[in-house]
Amino acid sequence: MILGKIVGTVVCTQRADNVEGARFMLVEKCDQHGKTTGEFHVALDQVGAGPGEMICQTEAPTAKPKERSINRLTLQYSV
Amino acid sequence: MLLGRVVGTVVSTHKSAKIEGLKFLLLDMIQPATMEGQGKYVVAMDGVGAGTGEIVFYTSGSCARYTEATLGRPADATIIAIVDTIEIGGKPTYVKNPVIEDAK
Repeated sequence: MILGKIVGTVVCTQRADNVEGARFMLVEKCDQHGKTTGEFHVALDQVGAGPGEMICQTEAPTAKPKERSINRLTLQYSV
Repeated sequence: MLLGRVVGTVVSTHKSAKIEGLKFLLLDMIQPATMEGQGKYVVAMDGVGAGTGEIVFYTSGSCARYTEATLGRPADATIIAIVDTIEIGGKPTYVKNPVIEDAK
């Protein structure tokens, strides 16, 4: 899992991810002190995280919340 | 998942039979804060019908093989969504169709 901070949201209507009601967050990677690195990812939110929160996210292939879903990064915990 | 802008198409006639019928798009990775291209390119299979100029995000690695278009195929990067808006700190940095947004 990697550490990141929620910096925003990504909205999309045309999708092919097989996940209903998906909520995507824009996440900037950060170190253990919360210092951001400038690397951005889009992640599926499973915990209801909000802007500014530091989160842990899993990477593929463990990021699959349901069978046949295709999300590379999934938020697992918010701090 | 990573954000990119569709900048072109990649066409191949001599290819594995397993990837016939799929569209390949050339993506330029973008920096979401500035929406500028980073000059890092990736060829991705299209799972949603994206077009040139659109902002999309793609999934990579083994997860790229889980869309209906790429199931069981040797995909390493698949576009899974066309982005409508990107918002950072409450302010939109990208709106796909600003005319419709203004009408609201």
